[in-house]
Amino acid sequence: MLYAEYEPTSDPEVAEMIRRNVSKIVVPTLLMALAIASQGFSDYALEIGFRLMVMITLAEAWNLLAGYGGLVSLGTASFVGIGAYALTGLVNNAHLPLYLAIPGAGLAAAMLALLVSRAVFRLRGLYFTVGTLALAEALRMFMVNYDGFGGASGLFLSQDPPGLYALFCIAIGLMAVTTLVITIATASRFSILLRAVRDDEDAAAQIGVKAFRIKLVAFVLASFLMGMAGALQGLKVGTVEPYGMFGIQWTVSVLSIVIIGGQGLRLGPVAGAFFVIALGEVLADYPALHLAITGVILIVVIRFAPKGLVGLARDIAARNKGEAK
Amino acid sequence: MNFQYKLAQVSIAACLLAGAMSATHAADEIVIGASIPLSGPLAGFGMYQKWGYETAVKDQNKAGGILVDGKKIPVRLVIRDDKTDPNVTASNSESLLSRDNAVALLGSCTPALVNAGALVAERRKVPIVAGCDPLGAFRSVRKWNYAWVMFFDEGDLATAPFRMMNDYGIVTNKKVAILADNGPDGIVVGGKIWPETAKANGYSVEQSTSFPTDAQQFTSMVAQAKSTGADVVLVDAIPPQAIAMRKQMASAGFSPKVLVMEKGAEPEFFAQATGKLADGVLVGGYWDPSFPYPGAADLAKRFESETKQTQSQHIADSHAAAQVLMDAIAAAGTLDREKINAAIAKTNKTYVIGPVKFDATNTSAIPITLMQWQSGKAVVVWPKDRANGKLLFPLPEAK
Repeated sequence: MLYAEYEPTSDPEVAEMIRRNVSKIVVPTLLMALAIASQGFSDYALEIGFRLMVMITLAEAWNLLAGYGGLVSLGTASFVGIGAYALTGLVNNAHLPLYLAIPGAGLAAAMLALLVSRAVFRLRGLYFTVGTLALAEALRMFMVNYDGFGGASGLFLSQDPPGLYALFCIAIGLMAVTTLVITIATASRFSILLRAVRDDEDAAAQIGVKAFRIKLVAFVLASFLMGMAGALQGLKVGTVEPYGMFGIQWTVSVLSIVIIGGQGLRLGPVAGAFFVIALGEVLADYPALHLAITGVILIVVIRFAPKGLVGLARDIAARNKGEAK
Repeated sequence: MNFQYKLAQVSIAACLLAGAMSATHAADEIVIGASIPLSGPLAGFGMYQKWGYETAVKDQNKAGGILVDGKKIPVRLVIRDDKTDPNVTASNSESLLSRDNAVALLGSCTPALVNAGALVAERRKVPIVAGCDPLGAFRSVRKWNYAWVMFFDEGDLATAPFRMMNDYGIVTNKKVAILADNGPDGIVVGGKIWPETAKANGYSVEQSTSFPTDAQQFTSMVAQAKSTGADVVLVDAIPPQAIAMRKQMASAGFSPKVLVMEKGAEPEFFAQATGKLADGVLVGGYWDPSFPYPGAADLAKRFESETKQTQSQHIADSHAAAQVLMDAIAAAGTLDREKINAAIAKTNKTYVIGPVKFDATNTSAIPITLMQWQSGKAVVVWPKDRANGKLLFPLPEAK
């Protein structure tokens, strides 16, 4: 079972949960403070910060799907790729400014989600997982073979990408949007319905939950965020090509981050992204070791901390609190 | 305050702390960064590049380093694996500049990877020298200011088989089959230059098939090529695909008189993987230890004695790229990137790869040769004045 955490669903507890989560609106404010403080950051901190925020966005979106909705998707790369290509197209051909092109890229990814939803939601469980993987591969092959989008060579952004500081600030904006969307999605009635569908889709339908609609909203929201993250990545690199942008590595990275951090937990993706990126930087000079260690950590976490690092820390904190009493 | 909120605060504080820390720049060394494919489909090329870059830097340090501001400073080469992914090349390049304080960069291999690193260098106004990117693909991206490439030109490469057949008066039925991947150079070489050159030289193009760069199954296109009766087969594919195609040609009993396999037949593992089937296969090349350039023979011997493997031409272009960059740093006499870049532009010297002089497009062309696998060795068979072996014609039939 990939999802690990069941949070309380009775009404008084939901009210309490919403009350608690309102405080998280503070996070965007803190992000704003980070943007201001980052003027003094080194280029390295800006680079790592950018990478971190893109990965957190992707992981948050995937966590909404898999952790809260039980929709274990292996199609992350499709939406990252569509977002990156859409941004390039909107900037090169429609000459849209970035503040329109980036949400536009998110919308393109959301449109794709809408388009394929009927097909993939016919599948459940492992079949859904395999279906999304097939979608990602089919899209990659299409982009490789279809010359209209540059084929295997890809496309180049017609304008120079912004500097690192500007990219970092845009990434903070993306994080703020992500935090807002995920906070609303996980601290509202929608979250209860989504988890009801996750726990037992047929039972949820019996009590009047429109399972298809609930799953569709989660899928479209997550795809929108993934598309914007892909757009940012395309903007940073300045070139998009199918092997990199639609590559399976996006899917694998995001999955590792969420599992290590804690699936179905609000801070799991954040902690996982910090951990995985920090590990990558520490072992940057030992690429083979990096892959092996990440694999071992993944196995150990799945075996001994199925709720991820955040779940483990929370359990330890609760135990200590209990002992102190 | 709940646990999750506390964790959020800690995360943001950690980020602020990381931002406040700026990497220190050691003034007692010159850092050069390189992001190359050490894993993934192009790892075969990355291994040669690593050796070429490291050897050039090692030699420079043996001589005491580079004279900068009147003081000899050793060079530190930082190499990162880009996993054959342009996204990783871009982030590696950023990290090499920001974390390791690299004063300049050395390039990766193939257009997608070189361009990704070059775009970062261009944005950050940092010089980058590369040696594994066909010039047409490099020029087509943009007007480069800080990126420099020395390699062969696709036009020169693609016309070579026809020039060779004309020079040697090779008699065929003048029917050509073209099988090329749809990668950047496959499109240019296989989709454009080969058909045009074939027609210009009186050949008829009986088949022109394009396939994805990661395709594995070629039986139907090989069967089609066989049915056309083409004596000349021109293939543009990366090594795993070229190996699979050569084997599938043998299985189908198809043996044209001339078989050219660009890109894929170049590394030694093509010959190792195909065994006897490699004999007679032609591939464009640009370097051989027998060429009369300073240090050419010695470089190949050193590679073979150190690694116990057969040399590849990629050791030469990577070695030369590192030398060009280090010479430019020495000529500039400073670590100022603008001055180093200006010094690269003035490069006019013969290196192990041959004469290097950059033109207005920041490229320096290396003349093409044709190599042929003969008993496990790549022999230069064309042009005549550089040949160190005799052309094996026709292609031996597979047994």
